[in-house]
Amino acid sequence: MKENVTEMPRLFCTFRLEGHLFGVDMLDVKEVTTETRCTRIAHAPDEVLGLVNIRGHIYLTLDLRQLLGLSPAVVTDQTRLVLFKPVVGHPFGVLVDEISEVHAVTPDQIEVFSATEHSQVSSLLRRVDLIAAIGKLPEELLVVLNPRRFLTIVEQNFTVSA
Amino acid sequence: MKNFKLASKMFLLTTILMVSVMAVAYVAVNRLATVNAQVRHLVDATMAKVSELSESHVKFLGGVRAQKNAVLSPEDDISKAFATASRAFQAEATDKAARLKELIGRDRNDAQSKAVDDFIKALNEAGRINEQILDLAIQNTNIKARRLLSMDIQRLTDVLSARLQAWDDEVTSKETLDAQGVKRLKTLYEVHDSLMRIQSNAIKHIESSGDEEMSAQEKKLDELLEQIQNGLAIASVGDVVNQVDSRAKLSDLKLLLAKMTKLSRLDTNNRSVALSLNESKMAGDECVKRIGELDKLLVAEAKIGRDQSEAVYVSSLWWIICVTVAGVIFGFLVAYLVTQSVVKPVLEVRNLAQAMAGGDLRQRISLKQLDEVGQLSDATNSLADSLTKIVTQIQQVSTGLAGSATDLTGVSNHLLSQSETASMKAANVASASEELSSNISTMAAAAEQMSVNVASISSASEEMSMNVGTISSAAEQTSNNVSVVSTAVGEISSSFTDVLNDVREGSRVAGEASRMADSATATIQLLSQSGTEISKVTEAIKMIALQTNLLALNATIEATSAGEAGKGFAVVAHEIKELANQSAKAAEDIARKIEGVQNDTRQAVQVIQNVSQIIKDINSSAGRISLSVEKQTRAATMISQNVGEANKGVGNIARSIAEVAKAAGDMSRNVAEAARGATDVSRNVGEAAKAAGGISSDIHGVSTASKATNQSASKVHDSAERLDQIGNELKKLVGRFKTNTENTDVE
Repeated sequence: MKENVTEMPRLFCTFRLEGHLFGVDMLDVKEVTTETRCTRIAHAPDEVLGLVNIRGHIYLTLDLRQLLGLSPAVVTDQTRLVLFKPVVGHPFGVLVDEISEVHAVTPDQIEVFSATEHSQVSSLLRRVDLIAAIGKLPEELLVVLNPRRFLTIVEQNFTVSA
Repeated sequence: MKNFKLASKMFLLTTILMVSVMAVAYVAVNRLATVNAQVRHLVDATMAKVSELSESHVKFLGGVRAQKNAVLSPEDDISKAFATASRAFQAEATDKAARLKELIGRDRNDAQSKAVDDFIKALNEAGRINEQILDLAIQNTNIKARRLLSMDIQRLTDVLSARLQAWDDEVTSKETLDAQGVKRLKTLYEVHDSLMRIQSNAIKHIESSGDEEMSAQEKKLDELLEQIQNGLAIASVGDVVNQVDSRAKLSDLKLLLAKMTKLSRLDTNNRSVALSLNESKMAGDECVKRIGELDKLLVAEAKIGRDQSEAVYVSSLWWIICVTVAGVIFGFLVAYLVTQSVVKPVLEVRNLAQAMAGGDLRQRISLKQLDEVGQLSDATNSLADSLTKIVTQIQQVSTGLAGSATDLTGVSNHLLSQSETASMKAANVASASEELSSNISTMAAAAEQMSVNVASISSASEEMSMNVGTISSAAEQTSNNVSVVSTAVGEISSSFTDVLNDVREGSRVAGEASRMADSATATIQLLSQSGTEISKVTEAIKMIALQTNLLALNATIEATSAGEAGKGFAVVAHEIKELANQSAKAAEDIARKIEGVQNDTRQAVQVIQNVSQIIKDINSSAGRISLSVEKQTRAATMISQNVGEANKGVGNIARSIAEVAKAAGDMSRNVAEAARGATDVSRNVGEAAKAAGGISSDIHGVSTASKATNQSASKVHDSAERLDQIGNELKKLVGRFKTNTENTDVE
């Protein structure tokens, strides 16, 4: 029984940022859309791209690249908006460079990326705890992000800058 | 019922079960209360009656016992105490009997009332008799009499006896017994005997109860006292003091005996004993009999009560069992209904999910209930709706894809037909160019012949020029030669005409080739345009594939969210994604091939333009040939005229050799010119032949290019067909999902 549980693969919705493979738990994802036109919010931090209207529902759009300390996102044909379910937090989504496929990763391929091991540097690298785990895929590494931290990081940054 | 929440249903069910349990409990309590009432009646009434009766019995018996004790006890105090106790017992017995009557009166039982009345009557009778006995018993006269007898009378008799003994001793102490002494002694003995008999007679008196007997005893006692008094007078001779004293004693004894007899006359003890033994016993027996009757009645009542309570117990048992069974059946019924109302919709939802898994999205659950199952069915409906929406979108996309594929097929068909036309036209061009080539070859042969002829003219003229000196000798020969020249020149002229015709033909053919080349260019432009259109279509397909991919991804996400229920759909979404990827790949393949076709087309256009240029060159060369040939024709005509003149002048050779020489010089010059022209022609024709060869090879290139185009077009056609097939497959795959929109489409 326990073996079955450990053998059950987790599904990750994966995408690419600057060519690197990132992913979030499939169960956290509500939808992936091509909608990238955002309405800017006044005085919002740089990571917040604005609001987007998906079939009448308003979602906050974050720039995942800036959250991860990369250069600001440039909207292309490949750019997609990944929306998260309400369980993750206030309705929001992140812009990604390119959507990849759904990866099923068995637990023995997942290595938990604990922020406590990096406690001495965590104050310097606050964004480290965005990373939940590392998936060891045969071709490359899958950086599993924790979407529940996204809004918190934005809030932290905003209070720090404020 | 339907619109209740599950909790409400459960609450309802529990309530019903509780109600049935309470009903069972109520019935049980009610029945038990009945049983209890029966038992209480048994205990409170019957047992109370029995207990009252038995208590009354016991008290009565206690009273009788105390009465006996009172009768038997010799002491007044004890007797009184017993009498009081007996009265108390009797009163209590009467009291109990009264309470028993009261209890029985409450029950309105006639037989018992009568029995208790009898019992009370008997008891009262017994009480009355008891009173009498007790009244007598308290007095204790016999005992008092006996005590009097045994104490005072005994003491007096003892004193008297002692006095008699003393007198006796006095008499016997005398040594001699005289007659007086004997008489005295005899009297003494008699007195003594009487004295002794008084005691026994007194006892007899006390013991006797009859009046006559008592009178007899009294009489005897009086006689004995008389005897004693008489005897004492005799006995007390000589002893005056003692005589007086004895008389006093005797009178005391008399008084005491009178007192005793008076007491004995009362004879209470014996009477009381007699009463106790007769009336009281009878009354007691009567009472006991009444008690026995009452007891029998009460036992009968108790038996009836027991039977009734047993009957009530049995009926209660049946009531409880019936109500329990009814409650259980009702509970089962309600539980079954509630379970049905829960399970049926759940089964419907399961059927819907199975149908959805099987691809039938048309089914909906129309449960008009607001409970959790209703919400579940609504959620399932909305899941089916969203799936239907997605599938409809996919269907639309696939329909669009199929339309695009059909468009593409049409375009590729068009392309194919156009490329076939181009190929045909290229073949036409090739045949025309071959014709041109053959014409030019003919022209070249003609030009060569002309060249040969010109050469022969040249040699002839040279020979003529050489032989001018010997003209005179060879005038005939000259004439012949001139004739030959004349015919040769005529031939040249006709050859030139041929050449001109050929050149014109060539020009016409070249023009046609140019026109065909233009047509081919236009066709290839069209091809290029079609390629661009195909590019647009493949772009559209790529876009559709991208959207399909995204839709499939979202469908996968939805399916994953749905959990176990969405597994089947996840597989379908994966298949759709694969198909979309294949579509995108096929579209890319087509785009690449179209790119190749366009490249080939551009090459073909280049080649055709080259051909067109060459044909234009040929055209201009032919023009120049035409010009040269015209010039030569003119020259040949001039030669002809000159030869004619020469022919005319041959006759006049003699007349003017100089003229001949001049004419020969002219001729020579003209021939040289002709030779130059012929060489020009020859060169131009060679050039033309080379150009024609070039054309021919170019046309061959065009032909291969158009063949390649044709091949590419066929590939495009194949790809388009495959795309169409994929589109159809996608449509079929999506068609597995039966949706309502499909129906409306069909309608």
